[in-house]
Parts: sequence; C-alpha cells; structure tokens
Amino acid sequence: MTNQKITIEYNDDIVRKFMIASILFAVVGMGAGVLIATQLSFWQANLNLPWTHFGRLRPLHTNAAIFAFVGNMMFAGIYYSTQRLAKVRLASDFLSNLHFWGWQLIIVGAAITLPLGLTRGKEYAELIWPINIAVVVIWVVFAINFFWTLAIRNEKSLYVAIWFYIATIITVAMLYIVNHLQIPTSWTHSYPIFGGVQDALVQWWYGHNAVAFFLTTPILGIMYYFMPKAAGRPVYSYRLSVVHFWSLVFVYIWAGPHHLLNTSLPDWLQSLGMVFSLMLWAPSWGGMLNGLLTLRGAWHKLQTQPELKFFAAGVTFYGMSTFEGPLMAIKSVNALSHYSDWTIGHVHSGTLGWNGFMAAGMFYWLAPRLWNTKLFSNALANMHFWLGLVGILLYIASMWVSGITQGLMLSATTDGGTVLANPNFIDAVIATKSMMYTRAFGGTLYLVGFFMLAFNIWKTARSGQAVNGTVEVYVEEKEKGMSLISAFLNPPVLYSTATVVFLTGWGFGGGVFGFFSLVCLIFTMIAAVIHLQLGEDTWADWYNKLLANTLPFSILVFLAVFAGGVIEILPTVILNKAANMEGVRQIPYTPLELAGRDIYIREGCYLCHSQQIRTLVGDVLRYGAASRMGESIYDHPYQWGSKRTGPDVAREGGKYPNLWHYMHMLNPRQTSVGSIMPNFPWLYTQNTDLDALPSDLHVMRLLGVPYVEQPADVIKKSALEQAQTIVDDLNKSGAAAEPDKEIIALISYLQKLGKSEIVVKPALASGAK
Amino acid sequence: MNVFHRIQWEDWHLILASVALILIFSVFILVVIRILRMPKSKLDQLSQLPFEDEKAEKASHEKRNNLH
Repeated sequence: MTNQKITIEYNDDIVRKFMIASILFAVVGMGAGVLIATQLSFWQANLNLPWTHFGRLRPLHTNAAIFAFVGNMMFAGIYYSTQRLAKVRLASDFLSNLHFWGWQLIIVGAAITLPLGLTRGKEYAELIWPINIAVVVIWVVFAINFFWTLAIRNEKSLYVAIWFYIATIITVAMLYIVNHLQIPTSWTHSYPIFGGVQDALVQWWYGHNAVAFFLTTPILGIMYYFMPKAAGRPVYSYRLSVVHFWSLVFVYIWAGPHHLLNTSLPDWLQSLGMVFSLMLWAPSWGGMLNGLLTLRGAWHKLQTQPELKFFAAGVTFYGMSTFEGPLMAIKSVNALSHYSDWTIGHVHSGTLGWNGFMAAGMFYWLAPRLWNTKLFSNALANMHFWLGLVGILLYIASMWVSGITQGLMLSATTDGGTVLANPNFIDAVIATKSMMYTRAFGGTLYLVGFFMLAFNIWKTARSGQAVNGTVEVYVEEKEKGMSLISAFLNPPVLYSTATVVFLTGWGFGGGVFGFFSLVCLIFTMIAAVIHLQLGEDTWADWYNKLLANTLPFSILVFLAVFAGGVIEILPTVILNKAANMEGVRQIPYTPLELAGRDIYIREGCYLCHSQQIRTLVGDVLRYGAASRMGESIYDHPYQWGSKRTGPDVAREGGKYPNLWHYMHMLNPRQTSVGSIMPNFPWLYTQNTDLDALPSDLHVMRLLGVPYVEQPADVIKKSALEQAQTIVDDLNKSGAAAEPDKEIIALISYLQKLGKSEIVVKPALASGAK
Repeated sequence: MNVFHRIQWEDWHLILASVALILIFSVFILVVIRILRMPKSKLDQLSQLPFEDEKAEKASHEKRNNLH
C-alpha cells in the first residue's frame, strides 16, 4: 500500500450560499406564517385580495418553511460535513452551483405560482407539474454530486451522518415521484393519477415521510456531525447511532396511515399505521438520547457556546415531538386530536423546535468558520435563543389548549350520546380565538429571533473574510470496491432472506406448506449457525465492506424503504375499484361542477374544510353517516383534508339553498356570525374557465372516470345550462348573478357534495352464483 | 380450512401487517447482533471521524492568517 499526502481545498462557497439562502427564506416563510396566523384571529388580515388570503398563503408558508428554509439549511449542512467526513472536495463545482441556483429558482417559482392559485391541491405537494419536474431534475443533480463525491472520497469508512444523507436522497426521490404522478390538462394544471382513498393513502405516505426523510433524517445526520464537533467529544454511542439509523429507516416508512385514522381507509391499514407509529418511539428516543448524552461532560459549555444551547433544545424538541407523534397516532387519542389545532402545535414543535433550533445552532457554529472570524455577538445569539424558546412554548401551548378545546367541544354529546352538546361549529371557533392571538404572538417572537440571527450572521460575515477550509490528508491506495452481485449474493443476505421467507411461510402457510416451511426454516438456521462458526470473518467482512461501498449500501436502504411502501400502498392501489365501493359510488361531477371543484382547490378551501366524516359519534351526529370509500372514488385529487378550521363539507350538497352559498362567499359573516373565513369577492367578477373543460374531462376519462366523449361546444353548453338554473334560482331569491361567473360554478360543486348512488357489489353478485 | 385459505390468498393484504412486523423485527435483530459484535476499536475509529480533519484544518486556517 502506498500513501500520498495531498492538500484539499473544500468548496465552502456553496455552503455559504445555501446558508444565506436558508436564513433569507426562513424570514420569508416565518413571516408568511405570522401573517396567516394573524388571519385566523383577525379575518380582515386576508385583505380581500385573491393573492393574500389564507387558502393561498398557507401553502406558501409550508413550502417556504419546508423546502426553502429547511431544504437550504440541509444542503448547507450536508455539503459542509460530507466534504470533511469524506476528506474530499465536492465532486463538481458546476453541479453544486446548478443545484443551488436551480433550487432557488424552484422556490421563486413556488412563491409566484402559489399566491396566483396555481396548485395541485395536495398538502406539501401543491406545486404545479412543470415545477415538479424541475424539483426532480435538481434533486438528481444533488444526488449525482453527492454520490460522485463519495465515490472519490479519501476516507474509506462512511460515518453514520452520511448514512442518514443517503437515506434522505433515495427516499425523498421515491416519495416525490410517486406522489406527483399526474396527467397535465394545461401548462399550469393537472390531475393526479390516484383518486379518492388511493390518493389519500399515497398523499400521506408521502406527507408523513416528507417529515421523516426531509425534516428528520438529514437533520439527524447534521446532529451526528455538528453536535460532537460543537461539544468537542464524540457521539455518546456509535452503536446506538447504527441501531437508530436502521430502525428509523425500516419503521418510518410504514407510519403514514396514522394521518387517516377513523376515516374510510381500510381498517388493516389504519392498524398498520398505528402500530408502526408506536414502534417509532424506540428509535426516535434512542437517537434523541444519543444526541443529548453526547453533551455529557460538556454541559458547562452551554454557558459560552450559544450553538450548544440551540442543539440541546433542538434535540429535546425532537424527543418531545417524536413522543407526541406516536401518542397522537393511537386511534382513540387521534379521535380527539385529529382535524384540530393540536396537530398544528405538534407540527410546529417539530419545525420550530427541532428544525429551526438545529438550523440556528448549525449557523452559529458555521459562520465563524466560514468567514474565519468570531461570532459577532454571543449575547445576541443568547437573546435569540430565549426569545425563540418562549415563542415556541407560547405557540405550541396555545395550540394544545386550542386543539383539545376544539376536540372536546366538537365531539361532546348530551342525552345519552344522541345529541350534540355544541351543535354550532362556530362556537368552537369563538372559544379558541384568544389562543389564535397567543399563537400569532408566539410566532412573532420566534420570527424576531430569526431576524436577530440574520443580523448576527451578517455582521459576522462582514467582520471576517470568506475562506474555504483546507486540509492535508494521506490518501490511501484505493481498494477494489464491492460489486453489486457480491453485495447481495452473500451468506448474510441469503440466510436472512431465506429465514424471513420460511418464517412467513410457516406462520401463514398452514398444512403441508406450513410444515415444509418450518423444516426449511430449521435447516436454514442450522446451516447459518454452522456457516457462521466456520467462517466468522465472512459475516463481519460483508457488513464492513457494505458500509464502505456506497452503491450496495444505497440499494439496501432503497429496499428497506421500498418494501414498506409497496406492502402498504400496493394493495389499495391495485385492488379493483369496484371492490372498494362498499355499496356506494360517487356520481361523477358535471362539467360545471368539475370547474367549480377546480376553483375550490385553487382557493385552498381544503385547508380549512375536510370532506371526510369519520366513524365517530361526534362526526356522524354533526355531519351525517360516516364517509365510505366509494363516495370519493372519482376525486382527483382527494379532498379529505387534515384540519377543520371550518366544518366538514362532505355532505354539504342540498344542506343550504343556493342563496346561502352566494351570500356566504361574499361575506361569511352574513350567514355565520363570528366566522373567520375570508371574503371571496373576486369570484363574483371573474369568469369560469369553460375553455379548460374539454381538456379536463379528457384527462378525467383517462383516469377512469366514466365520462362520455363529447365535443367541446356541447360540454360548454351543458355547463352554461346548469349555471343558468342556479342563476334563475338566485334571481328568484333577489340576488343578481351571471351564469359565467366563478361563484356559480363553485355553488354547483358545493351543492353536489355528498351525492352518490347505491351500487350492487360485483363480489356479492359473483358470490351468489 | 377453506375459510383460512380465503383469508390467506384472497384477502392477502390482511396478513401484510404481520409480515411487515416479522420483516422489521428480523432486520432489527440482525442489526443489533452485528453492532454488538463490532470491535470497540472500530467503533471508536468511526466515532472519531468528525474530528480527524480538525487539527489539520485549524493549522491551515492559521497558515492563511499568517500570510495575510
């Protein structure tokens, strides 16, 4: 073996760029958050404008916080630590810059399109299809740059932080692509290929794991690198970090269905989601304790190093939110917490506490090193910490109080559980109004803290000089890598696979097959033990080599997350739609109703109104019979929602006259005193886009909705005829309306909600013979 | 037996939760066994990786400062 000493200059310029972008978008995203929090207590803050109301700004806030703030922070952390752990400069400056500028362009695209109402109508996946393609391209650029860097690294071993980064890159790619499968109807509009329950499941498989693999695993990698560096001591237990990684990667991917508990999602999936969510307690707390115990013997440093304060609090919030999450995934707890502000509090303890504080800690640690100077003001950083901490506590405490109040009030019954105690939904809104003010105040404190951070980092940068870290390393002659075939045609893999297969066959096979599986299982285990004893090094060598070889390792990670996804999603996706109907089938929307639905989605109505009546007494008494799968079978995208700031509208059709809806959209307080819903005056002046209908219906047909092929003029004529009937009805009631206005299409959609037909299950028919 | 057979093959998704549990538990056991058998020296070497470049990098910062 020959060793050669070389000098490496890291590409820290890209780290600085991502860090500055993250701070900038943190302020923008949190600013949008404070504004929409204000709108929930003071409806006038919606400004009566289409671009500034809650329904359009809420996606802007979430996308800015997740993809712009945390995304940029994550890239900064990954690029900084990977270069140092791999002892090599990033593989390509061009790809690094393409990654940076491409990502910022995507963010700007989102910031323009979302206020314009251009949305796919799926939470955290709102961006329109051209931007989706850009995201995939830039993510691939990131992946190539990252894996290329690993391929040319000068450190043989892969530190656990890099494992977490690999899991992030692979899993996010898989989740994003599947949940964004869609067919465009125009350059700015599309329908997802999944509908109803299938779409709900895919959406929350994505939504939950966006939290897991975009907001958690990369930050855990950052924790495992930056906390030991800041504390000046290695991670408490490397063993625990390995168990933490594999357990998290294997378990997290299964937990998505806990977002759909007590809904019309099949029971077995709800149970699966609940059980795996509870299992998440162990790895999450293992990781949290590993992080906190890394500070053993270094607690005194918290007095002088503000970044350690942020890290310690951030990891504590990680522990708190990963305790709260599984708790809320228990079906009976979820009955109270779901659709309420408790979920919002939970999410923010994760994003503000875990993501925000870890980001702040990392920035305070990085800035002096990236500009070769001292932090401008430790006192200011400390003030940021306390202001942010008080802000978070006010925010989440108010959301707990508000959420539990909403849950209790809306599910409370009297007369032996036969009558609602609070029949008016608005009572719960009014009861929690003070909590909305508190939340906005807490969010403002947190935002002010980030302004302090921005100022502190700016002054630090001004006082120093941008430098790229350089190191001299001994480069070992590279050993021959592990081939893909040898990575998987290996005794540990083969014995493990055989054990799982035979164990499953024995457990579920029964009869001769079960007995055969048991015999095979015993033989496999005996063979494995003999093999293990005869060639002990083989097993350890395989694992060690695997960890030093990126491609086989990455494939193993992919298989881990892919298995969870396939087992969870495939049955619901491939099951015949007819078999899912439970005797009820949605009646397809007429062209006008479909146009109204697109307006409903454009205005983000689903962010405050669910369309899913859960199998709970309170829901059924308030809204009618529990929703069934067949009732939303043609909904692309599904509209079950995740929060009820206003009442559920699954059975809104026919509940109120057309005039009520007409007055309600103009000024909700005319029909619902105390409402915090925005006014929608533009719906009364803007024309419905009837020209888009032929293309919309064509795509719906491709997706399996039973529309008959019709010429464009027939479609438009049918829409206008239906609009005229609504206008005639409104005119009779004294309201002046025109058939081509958007409000008419929206009313037609709302009046259709809950309309379905009884069908005979094909399975029953075939069973009868 | 027929009923059991129907549960197994026609409603195959009903057993997936159990299959998933077996799968996860098997992997967990394998990982724990492997990590417990890993030599302490190797673990120490891995946990020290974030610090390996620290001294060298610090030296190069100082070198640059001296040049300025």
